[in-house]
Amino acid sequence: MSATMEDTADVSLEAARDLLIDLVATPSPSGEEGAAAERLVEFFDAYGREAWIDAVGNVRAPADDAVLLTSHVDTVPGEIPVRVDAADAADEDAEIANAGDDLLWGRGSVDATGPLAAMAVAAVRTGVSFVGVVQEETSSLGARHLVADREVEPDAVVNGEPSGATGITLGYRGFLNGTYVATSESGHTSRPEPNAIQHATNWWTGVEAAFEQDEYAPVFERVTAKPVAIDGGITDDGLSVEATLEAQLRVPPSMDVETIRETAEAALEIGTVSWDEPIPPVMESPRTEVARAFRAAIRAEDGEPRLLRKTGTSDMNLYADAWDCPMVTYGPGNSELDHAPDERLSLPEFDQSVAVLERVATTLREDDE
Amino acid sequence: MTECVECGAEVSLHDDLEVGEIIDCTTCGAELEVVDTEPPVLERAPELEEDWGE
Repeated sequence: MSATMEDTADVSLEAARDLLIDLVATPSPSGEEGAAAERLVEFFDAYGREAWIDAVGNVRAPADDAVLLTSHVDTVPGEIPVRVDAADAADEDAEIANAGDDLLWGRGSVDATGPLAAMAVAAVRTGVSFVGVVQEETSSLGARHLVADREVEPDAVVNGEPSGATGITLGYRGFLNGTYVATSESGHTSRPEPNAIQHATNWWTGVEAAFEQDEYAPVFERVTAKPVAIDGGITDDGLSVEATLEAQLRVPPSMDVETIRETAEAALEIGTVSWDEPIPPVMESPRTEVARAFRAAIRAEDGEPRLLRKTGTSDMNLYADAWDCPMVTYGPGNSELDHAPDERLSLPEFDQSVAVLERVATTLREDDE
Repeated sequence: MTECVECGAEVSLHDDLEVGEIIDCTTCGAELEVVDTEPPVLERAPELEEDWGE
């Protein structure tokens, strides 16, 4: 879809901050994004931009596809009273805000309502496409639906996650989630034969050994194997011992998820593992037009650009797997506060990120014409 | 032409240089970022840092 420069609208700094604070004050844990999505639709409506909520709950505001700005509407659970106060010296030491800056406290302020609101404002100011996706923190349902539902890919994508107003994230590791299950006959615990719980722990010991790597290698370049849930014991009928172990594996761009899965299964002696849909790793070039536009915009807003690769996984992995266009991830906030009980965002940093996004979207629209 | 900020060798520049563009020094291999075009100013391009989370 195309648009003209006349499709732009001015959004004041005050209105931008109001949107951010309203969204942070609207609880939106994964699966319960409805009220926040409605607030976003109202925002676009107020500036004459068409917006609607799609079949899975995403907020869709299509316009000029020179760049698609997209971030997630959902947050992790956890109530943090919403307030604005002044940052202190400790905030400055922790690289969260300059002392004296207005600081917005609240769940999602960093991950990723700050990036989401900044993108909505920049999309209205510049007339580019916007999508707020749902359930990024759980199944990435919104992003999966978006790539399946769009008939054409955008010319470029900026995914919204906290990189800091001067940071540009180019890479994420991939993600593989598996559930191990084993059953053994029950028997007296004095018997030497291993039971299902031992089979599960033996498998996990084998997986960890298979992925043991040089501790001096950057984490981004390693496989990280992490058990996230374990359950086991005698079944209700008393005839068996059962064990389940849920595990997550982070996959570096130098490896593919199939190789990782085969390696983990090679450590299997007894039991089975069922794998969820994998998310491949992504590593974008710093030389794309999007990355170039960001560096220029960050410098124009008195920042020193930083290039990042993150050890986690985001919806950008899915977009890069589905679309060939260049992309980066960007947004205000210190990602050390992702999911933290003291999540908070510097409002001047939010303002700076809006200005950077506006410059980037304007540059990409002009380049596209 | 301008000088590489790493090795001092001459770096040839194309006509439609853009701010933010990354070019390579053919002498030392350094990645250089264009931070201004009139006149051309080069700085060492930012290196890739590792960070946690999403």
